Amino acid sequence: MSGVISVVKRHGDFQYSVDSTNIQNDEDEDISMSDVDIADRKLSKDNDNESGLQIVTPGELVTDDPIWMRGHGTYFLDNMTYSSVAGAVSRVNRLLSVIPLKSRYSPETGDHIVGRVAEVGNKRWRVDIGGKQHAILMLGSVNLPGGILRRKSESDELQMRSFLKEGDLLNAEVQSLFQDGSASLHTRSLKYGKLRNGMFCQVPSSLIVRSKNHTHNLPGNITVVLGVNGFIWLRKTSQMDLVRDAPPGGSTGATSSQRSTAGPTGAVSLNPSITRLEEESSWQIYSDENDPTISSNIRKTICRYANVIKALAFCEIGITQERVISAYEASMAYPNVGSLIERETMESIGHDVLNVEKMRGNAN
Amino acid sequence: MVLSVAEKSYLYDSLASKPSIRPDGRLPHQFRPIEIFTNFLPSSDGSSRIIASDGSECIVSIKSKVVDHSIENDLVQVDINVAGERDDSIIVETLSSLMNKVLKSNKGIDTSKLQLTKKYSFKIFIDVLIISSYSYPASLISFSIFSALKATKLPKLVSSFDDLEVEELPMFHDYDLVTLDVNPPLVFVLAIVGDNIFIDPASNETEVANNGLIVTWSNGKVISPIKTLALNDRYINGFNPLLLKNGIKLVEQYGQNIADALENL
Amino acid sequence: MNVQDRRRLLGPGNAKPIAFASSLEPETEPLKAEEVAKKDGIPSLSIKSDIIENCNGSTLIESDEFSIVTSVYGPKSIRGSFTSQGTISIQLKNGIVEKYQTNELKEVASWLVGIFNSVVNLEKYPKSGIDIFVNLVIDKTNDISKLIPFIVMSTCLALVDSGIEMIDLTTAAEIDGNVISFTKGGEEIVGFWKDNGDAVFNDEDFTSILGRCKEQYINYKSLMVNYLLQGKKK
Repeated sequence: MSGVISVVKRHGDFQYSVDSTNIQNDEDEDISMSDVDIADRKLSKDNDNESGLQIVTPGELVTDDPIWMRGHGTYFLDNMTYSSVAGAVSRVNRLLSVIPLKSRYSPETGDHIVGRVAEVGNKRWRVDIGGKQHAILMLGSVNLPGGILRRKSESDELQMRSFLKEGDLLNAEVQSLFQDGSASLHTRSLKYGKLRNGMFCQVPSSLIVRSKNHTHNLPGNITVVLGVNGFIWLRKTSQMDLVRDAPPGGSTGATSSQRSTAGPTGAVSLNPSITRLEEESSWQIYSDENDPTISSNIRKTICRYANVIKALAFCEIGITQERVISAYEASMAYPNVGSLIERETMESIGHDVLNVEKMRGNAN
Repeated sequence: MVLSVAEKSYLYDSLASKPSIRPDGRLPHQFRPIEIFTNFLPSSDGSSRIIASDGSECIVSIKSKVVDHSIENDLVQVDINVAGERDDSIIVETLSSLMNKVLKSNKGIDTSKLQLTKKYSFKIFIDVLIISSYSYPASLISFSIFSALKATKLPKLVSSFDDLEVEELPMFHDYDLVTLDVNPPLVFVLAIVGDNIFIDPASNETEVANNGLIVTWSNGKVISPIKTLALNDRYINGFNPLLLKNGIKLVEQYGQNIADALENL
Repeated sequence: MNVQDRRRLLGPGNAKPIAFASSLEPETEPLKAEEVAKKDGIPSLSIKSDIIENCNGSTLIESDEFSIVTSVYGPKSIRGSFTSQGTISIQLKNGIVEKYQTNELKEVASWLVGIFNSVVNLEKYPKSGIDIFVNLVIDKTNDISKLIPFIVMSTCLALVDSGIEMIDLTTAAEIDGNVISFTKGGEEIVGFWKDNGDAVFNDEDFTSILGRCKEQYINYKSLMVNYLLQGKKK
């Protein structure tokens, strides 16, 4: 279609003729009559199963045994417990809940996340992390200009908006969780803080695989921050990123990125001296200015990475550094970055990534 | 969507550079892919649902009624609903005013195609529901209306065309349907950043656009309404008059491709 | 209430600034209506500012064909979350005769907001709203496109009257249904509106329409400048 637009004709789920819906209804009735048997079978089958993993769909009967307490993701009708989401059944003592396959991000302590400031409040920022609630970043949990040993004063409270304002993106670590499940963040490390020099893209949080390291230097002089919450930041690799990723005494560069995940990153280079920290903790860490030297090639590479990440998400492939690189390499077959948004292209990139993994023998 | 200052200036610099680099790498005339479902509403004469790749979604239903066109001269009625917006909100009123102008102008829907007999015509009701939209939905709506009208099938007339003398109501065939043959105009949204102009801006592009254009296209020609459109209130600014011409040329050049793509599914 | 607001000392609600007796001659001359001679297709206009007491700025523009009253309220503080720049809202109202549909008026209004967002220096007015009301009191033109240049003009003059900081004076011109609003002496377009007719944008026609609109805009603008300068002298 000459590359202007691609239009796919699809047939919807509700495109049934009248007859077929009738048949469906009949089937439904059958099921509801024999619900008990099926449920029994399921439970017994489930007990046999070693992993104990039972996948249910919304409206599916989980159990008819009233002894179970009903947790999240379930509802109760006539002494029977049904699932309200698609996901895995979890049983903790007497509590029965269904953990959804896809849901809003639920934070866990230690997660490396990317968030967007939603609100500046009293001594705290509220940060949108794609979860059920906004996370909280206390004024006391950030590095302020002037170094780590500086006292917080009232003037800091008054100029909070000059550090971080609405819309600002930052990466942070989940420090702790509140009673209601909302997260408290901190950015007290040089690898956290305001994000610059790049572009944002978002994928479902369920696709991000939790790993030791979530900041990766990629080929093409690009660094990616894969937030566990599915928020992703792609930026031009900075000097800091190179230092962080360099193996001690080894050569720097993109080729080392493969090893870096295996090696003890973080520990070595993320402990700069206090003086260094003071240097970095100037006002510059809250600057809104981008590096003026971002070339158009870097910008194009960032676009390409953003598109391949979206392609991986489209194919529901978990996103890791290896896969992003492998998808990037596969995408090189398409010189025009814009063609990567087409459905067929995304599918073929997904296939390529999985094939490469199979050939390497590490596919599960 | 709120973007950070650094994000905006990065996007602006990318889009304003020569040649422009769009955040998803598209060419200036390239649209994002869309998915279309047609004729899924059993109770309407024609329907369509478009889902854009960013998750924007729009449903259009076409219904018809036989009216005496000597009394009722308004043969097309457009009604727009946006989920989460009141009927008197600015976005809803602006869009419905725009779509009414697009479809009811003399270059819009050819009302002679709706005529049944010398006395009676079909009046068509176009109901638009925007379920979600992440960028200005004018294009989405017009594409949906276009594909819904192209998919519309109306009952076949069996009584005679000349009914001025005889007092009879039009009679229709029991099950034969005729495809409605109209060519509704398409509406294009363009964004201007610096000295660049491009079609179908995504939400992050609209955030940094200096200005926007709405351009209407029908049968190979750009027609009115054409107007500027403020896509945000931060970056809005004046633009070089030549960009207006370039934008119109861009639509003139690629309008037919879009119409073909929507028609030949 | 946040810390900053608590520290602000607010006087009682009915406090008034101290007024000293003027040592100069009191300004006897309120701005009076000014007749502008008809030239080159410009209808003779009568412009009068500062006509409404309780708003920050107002302008009345009249000719044989129409009468438009614009009033500006603001900048005034807005409730809700923090905004780093001012927000303009414009409302258009039919006069006695309900000539235009509300949705069309809203469409014009949101188009006007785009124009004034680009010429008003909004960064100067954080956490503020500027409300503009345009009343089409009399209108015999029957075509909103013909009226838009004067709506833009009166809104612009009302903003000047209210003392709100602007980057440029803007106004619009209309030729054959093409309404173009310019800034920077015609170098840049801030608004374009075309409701009927084909777009004949081959190079020649485009240049000619653009040129004629620009000429009309320059005429209108010099008219506005003259009016403002005269008001200042008095």
